[in-house]
Amino acid sequence: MLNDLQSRILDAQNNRGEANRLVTEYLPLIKRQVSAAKSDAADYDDMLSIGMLAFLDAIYKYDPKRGAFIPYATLVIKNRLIDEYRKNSRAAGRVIPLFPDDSAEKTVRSADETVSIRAYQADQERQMLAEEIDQLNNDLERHGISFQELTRICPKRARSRKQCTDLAQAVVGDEKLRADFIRNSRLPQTALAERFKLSPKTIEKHRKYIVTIIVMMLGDYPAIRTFLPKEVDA
Amino acid sequence: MKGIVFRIGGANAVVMLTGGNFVNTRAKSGWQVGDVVTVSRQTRSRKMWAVLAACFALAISLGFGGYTLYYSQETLVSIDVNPSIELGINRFDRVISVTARNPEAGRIINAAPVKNMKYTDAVAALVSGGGLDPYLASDAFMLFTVQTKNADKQEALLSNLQEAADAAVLPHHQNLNTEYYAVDAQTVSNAHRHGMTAGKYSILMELQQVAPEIDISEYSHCSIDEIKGQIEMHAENGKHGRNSGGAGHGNAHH
Repeated sequence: MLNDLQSRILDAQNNRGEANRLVTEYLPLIKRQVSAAKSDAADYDDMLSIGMLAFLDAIYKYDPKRGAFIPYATLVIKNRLIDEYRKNSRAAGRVIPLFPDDSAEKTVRSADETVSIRAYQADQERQMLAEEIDQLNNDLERHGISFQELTRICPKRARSRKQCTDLAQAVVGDEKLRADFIRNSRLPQTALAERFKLSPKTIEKHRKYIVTIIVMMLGDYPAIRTFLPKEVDA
Repeated sequence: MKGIVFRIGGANAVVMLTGGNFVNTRAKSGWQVGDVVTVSRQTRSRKMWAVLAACFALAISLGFGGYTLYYSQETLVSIDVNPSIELGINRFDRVISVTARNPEAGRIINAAPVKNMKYTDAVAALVSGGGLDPYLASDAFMLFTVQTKNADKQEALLSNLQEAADAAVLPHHQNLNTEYYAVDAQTVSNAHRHGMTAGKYSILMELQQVAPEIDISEYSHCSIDEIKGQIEMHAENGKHGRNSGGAGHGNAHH
């Protein structure tokens, strides 16, 4: 007999929108795991993105026969963070302690298992992301935006990117603006300029980037969205 | 920073970094679309640093060059009544130094700060500022001398000075006599050795011509008006074959 959460997980395995809602809902759990690991403030956002990706991975691979979802997801996140820290430590040429108590890791896998599972997980994760990226590419093409172009038009300052994300959030969160955007593929620049007390020129300057964020928020891109500013919870 | 590889084209990859930042970076071997990769924080290349350093050096040298250019004296203007004032002027016709050659001049330049003004405005401010009024009695002499490294500008300098000074002072002192001369660098150098302006030194040289026995340093405190008087007197005495040295010396006044 499946409980409510298990039913939602199984639904999310074929429904990216539901998967995304679960990530948003369980963000505090993911944050707790990231905070429990030794990390400095500089890579906290990176690790949170990795943790969210691992949570998504746990959703897609979950089998109710394994038991309750939350302990399973917690273990997946922990192991993924450990892998990341190891990778980073190797890159930095240093060895750092991982979790204060990493006995859990020792008991879960043998070394051989770890290597093969890690490779398999990485491949699964890459496929999941590659599918989303392909879909996103098609969606953005309809708005005349290419990935290459995004490197040029993307705001260089984090504050500007956050502002663009807030503007995108405003469009997605407003039923009328959202419907208008979906119907006409048009950014309501005047309405946004008035609401955020910004110059229409500023919005025009970042129009394509804002459209990209809106497309990411409206579409089924739970994995890609783990790399957007974390306040975003569309 | 962590990021997702969105596109690989040739040697470069488009990566979306944490926080939604899209960057174009060199693709490492084995990268595939969808990989979560670590991208080192973008640092400026050595070439960029070299360009920045060159720009910085250029800015410094331009700044220093500009400073040097502005504060290089091209022209020296002296104003003598009894107060003796010297104005150092740069190639942009701005006053870059003001020197008082006697205590009376010191009081005047303190009351009328003219540094960085255009020389014509500075002269007008000095002669019409009221500080010179006590010395501008009827029939007084005011002497302007100009020494410039730029010979092409000499005539224009004298003409502009005359226009500016006459316009400023003559409406209030109709009987004032103004004279304008150009002098050379050697005259200025000799004058400074005696602690006076080139204008006063020139007029004292004139005095010495008519009274060779005098010591000009004893007349350095006299006004132009008084020195002119001495010249006239000695010249007159010379005509009558009399010795004028002692009388000239004795009649010199502040």
